[in-house]
Amino acid sequence: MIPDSVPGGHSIITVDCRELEPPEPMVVVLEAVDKLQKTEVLKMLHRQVPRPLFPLLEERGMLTHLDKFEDGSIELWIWQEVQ
Amino acid sequence: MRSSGLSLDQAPPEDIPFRFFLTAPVFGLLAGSLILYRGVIVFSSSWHFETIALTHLITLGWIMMIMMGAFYQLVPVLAGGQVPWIALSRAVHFFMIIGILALAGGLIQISQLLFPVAISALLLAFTVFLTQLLTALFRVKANRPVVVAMRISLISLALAVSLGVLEIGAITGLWPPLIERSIVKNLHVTLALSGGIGGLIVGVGFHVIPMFYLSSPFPEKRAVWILRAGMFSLAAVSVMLLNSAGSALLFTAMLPGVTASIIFTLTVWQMLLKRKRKVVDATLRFWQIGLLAFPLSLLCLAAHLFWPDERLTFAFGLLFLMGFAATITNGMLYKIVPFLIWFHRFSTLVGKVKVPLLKDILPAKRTSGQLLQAALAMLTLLPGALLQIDWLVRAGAIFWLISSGWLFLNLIFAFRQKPVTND
Repeated sequence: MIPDSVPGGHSIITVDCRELEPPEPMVVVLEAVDKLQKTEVLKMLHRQVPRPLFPLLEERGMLTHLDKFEDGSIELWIWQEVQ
Repeated sequence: MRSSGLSLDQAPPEDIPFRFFLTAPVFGLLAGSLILYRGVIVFSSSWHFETIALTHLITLGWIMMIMMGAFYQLVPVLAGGQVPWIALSRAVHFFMIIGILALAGGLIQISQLLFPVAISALLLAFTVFLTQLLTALFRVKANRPVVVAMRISLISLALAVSLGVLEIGAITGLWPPLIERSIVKNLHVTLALSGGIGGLIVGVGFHVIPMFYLSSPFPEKRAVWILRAGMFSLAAVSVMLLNSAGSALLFTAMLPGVTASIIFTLTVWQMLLKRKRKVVDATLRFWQIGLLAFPLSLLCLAAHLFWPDERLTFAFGLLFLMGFAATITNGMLYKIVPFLIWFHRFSTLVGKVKVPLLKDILPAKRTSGQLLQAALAMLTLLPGALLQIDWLVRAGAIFWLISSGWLFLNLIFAFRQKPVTND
């Protein structure tokens, strides 16, 4: 289910970080972000909020939407701002 | 909804936690040298001045140094508190070193003049440290278990330090004893070990086990119960000690805290067994050894109430300080230091150049070798002290010296990891 704030019509690339130890989730996501096309949106699955990731995404000019769940796990949607 | 994530944007400059972390194994070397030099004599009486010197080289020199570095690092990232006057932390570190060296030097009778130096330096260091951290923690609105555990730890430390200073002053004739010495000693040990050291390890454990070992979160209601039971016992035991209560009453007062400690141990053990990523590394083993030593140490303490044999005191001391606290803090250094180095030096380079992972910053073969030495030190020191075998105690000292030196070199190796520039 794509949240309303995430642009529609984009192809979704899912990166599952739930079984990666720190700092691998950040490395995997940032590497995927650097290859992300304007027509793609990245969906990060993680067991907790990746707080240190946000300033690095901001630095790259990415937009995000975060969904948190009762067990502490999250889905983080990342996409490029379309000019 | 809650998160167990770390927020590093408020973290202190990297040199602040690192200077405390790097000092710990140096005091480990001093402690090992004292055991090697004096042999089984340091395990003959808990009132022996050299034994007190050894205890403080480990508690203040090793455990407290790592705890202080961890507090400065973790209060902003785990509790969201801003530590004020952060530059003063460097002075805290300096005065801690002076204070511990002067205290140990005074106790091994280099000069009586060292005691006033020890009192002044330690009081100054702890006053600044406690003011900084208590200010930060009481500004935080959240009453999450980690925040409560850190507050318990700091308040216990404040009381333990005050009692310790009272005791040194009384021993050295700087002022008359206000309370009977054995009462001060037992209260000082209870507050420093159970509240100060135990409080921080338990509180941090709630967070770092899920984060670093990919386990399920620590159940929050259980964490709250553990802290309440621990606080109750700490207060009850303190009141009993002040009133010179008998063994049965003390044991009853201890019971909720001991039960809470066992529940914490079992919960963390279970979380580690059910972790998602079944990688076995040295830090996992450090946690497991620490978790085994924790209830065993409490068993010795409880037994000592009914059989006041000095050997049980040493079994408790060795199991709690070296087996539990020094072991777990050692293991946590191997997780926290590479992570901080990675975050401070490499995180902004991801995607631009190839960045190392934690296992590259501190390779497993370096840490597993040290783990073996630390385990051998425990396995020789414990029977050596209990059975009063001098050569076994000295062999344990050698293993402990190798272990401390190895840890120091491992930390230096990690600190030297820097991004390669193409200039």
